[in-house]
Amino acid sequence: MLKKSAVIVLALGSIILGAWHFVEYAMTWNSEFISNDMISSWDKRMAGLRADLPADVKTIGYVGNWDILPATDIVYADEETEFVLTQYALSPVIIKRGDNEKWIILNLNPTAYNIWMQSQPQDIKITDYGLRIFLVHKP
Amino acid sequence: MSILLGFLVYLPSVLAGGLLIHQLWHGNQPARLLIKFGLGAGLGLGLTSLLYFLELLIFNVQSGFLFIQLGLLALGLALAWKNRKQNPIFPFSEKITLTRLQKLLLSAFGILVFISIGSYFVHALMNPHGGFDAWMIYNRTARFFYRGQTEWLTAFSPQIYWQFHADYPLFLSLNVAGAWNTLGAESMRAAQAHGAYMLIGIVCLLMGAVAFTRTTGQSLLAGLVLLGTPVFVYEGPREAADLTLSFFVLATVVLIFLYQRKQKPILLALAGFASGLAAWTKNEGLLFIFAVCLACAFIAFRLRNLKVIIPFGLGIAFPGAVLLYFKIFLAPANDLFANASQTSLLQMLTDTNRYRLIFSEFIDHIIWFGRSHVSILAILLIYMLIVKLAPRASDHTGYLACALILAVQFFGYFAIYLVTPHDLDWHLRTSLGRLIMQLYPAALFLFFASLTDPETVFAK
Repeated sequence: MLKKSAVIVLALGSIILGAWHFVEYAMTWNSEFISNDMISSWDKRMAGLRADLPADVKTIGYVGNWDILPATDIVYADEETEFVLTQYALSPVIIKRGDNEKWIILNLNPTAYNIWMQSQPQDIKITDYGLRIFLVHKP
Repeated sequence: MSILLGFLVYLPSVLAGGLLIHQLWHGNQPARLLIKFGLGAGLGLGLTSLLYFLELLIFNVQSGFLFIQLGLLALGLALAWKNRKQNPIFPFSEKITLTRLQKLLLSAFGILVFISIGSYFVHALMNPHGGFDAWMIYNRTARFFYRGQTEWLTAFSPQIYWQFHADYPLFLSLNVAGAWNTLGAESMRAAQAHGAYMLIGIVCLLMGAVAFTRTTGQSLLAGLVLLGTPVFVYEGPREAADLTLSFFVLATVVLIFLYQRKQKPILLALAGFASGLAAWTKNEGLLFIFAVCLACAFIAFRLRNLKVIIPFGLGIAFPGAVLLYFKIFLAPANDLFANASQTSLLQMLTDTNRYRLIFSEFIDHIIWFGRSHVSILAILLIYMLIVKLAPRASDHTGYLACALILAVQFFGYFAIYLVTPHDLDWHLRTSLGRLIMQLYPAALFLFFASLTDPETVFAK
């Protein structure tokens, strides 16, 4: 009897677990995510910048808050995610951390932006794409 | 519409895989056909990926993905037609008759399949770009290929930041880029459909193999447990390679188990091919090849037949050669071993705190594996204690060989964590659950292949 019950419990338990997971996840349903999830939004955010990059640019620098501000003032996971999303959006251009390239993306909050600007020459060209994203071109 | 196109774009490979395996391994019992269909999904897509890589390498054009698939399908259909008398697919050689118990389990399985399809689509629709690994590694590499076209080799530039793992093998990225080139757009639904085919392949393969080695009721129970594990259904639309790797781990384990039972060399050749594709999927596959080689040596010793190495070697030759070329001539250095020094290795190997942390995380992840609200491991252990193990004496070599593969892979993962140059806590947190998932379907196969089946339980 115990063995028979075990078979029934395993079969029914599997259905319940599957259904539980489905209901739990379905309750977070948001139809906006179908076309406008975080990654698609970042792709759109980078679309203008991508269009402005000359076709012969193969590598581009990237400076985020994590390169400027102390660790206590940043959320590392967010910085990492935005860096990865930027590489994903701009592929096949290679994104290199730092400002050693002729073309550089800045993803900085106002404080970090002001600190970074203090160490830069006057003749750099900066295009603002909104939402703290800038494209820098060093002559 | 894009969801349908995503599925259609890989369909020729999946069908071709099944048809070609049917020509290599004859027989049309329902369980055997289910195994072949399941195997066909992964091996067909794997063969396509390898051929597409060669096309890119030799001709430097990306337009041939569909032609490769159609060529394979035409070959499969032609062979099936030519051999239709000696090796038919239909009608089945055994009549399918189900007992009342089997009908009840089939109904339960049907309900869970329905729920799982719902779960799959909720996940897929809300995460069109998949999980973090998908856009960091696999779809990003696919974008390098698709957007780069003739400059696709940029994907392996050593300038790419280590975290993007440009050294990872290309199975998934190539198939995604191939689908995009066929569809003329970066459709994320194609990447998700690839995951869905792997999911379907694993379910069919596991159920077919358990039905073949035990009973229909046991196979339905295995399918129920697999689909009742939330993380498993969630992996399909995540667009990462872990599900694909778990397919090849399962395929290899099943084929080796079947070999020791049937002694057909073609099964070992297919096991070799599947293990080669595991390494073409993820770097963990290299460790897996080592584990499978040990298992083959064990089988050769038990059967007193060194010749078993030959079909295995023939099977692994093609994916192995492609992988070797990729690793030697294209892939940048791996982040785990690029800067390893003997001193730091020794320090890590003698640090007892690392052993303690890894061990406790392994225990924690295994007990709570599956993103479930209950411990699936505990449930399965209790179930095993109640219904009892009933391994077949004639299959002992198979059980031991397959358990050896899983054990070597498991301890290999442990060893890699020991010497990882990255923050250990971060490395464990971001990868261990996926590594366990890679072994889960194969472990389920061994579990249900060695347990008393429900037919026997209800006959008493």
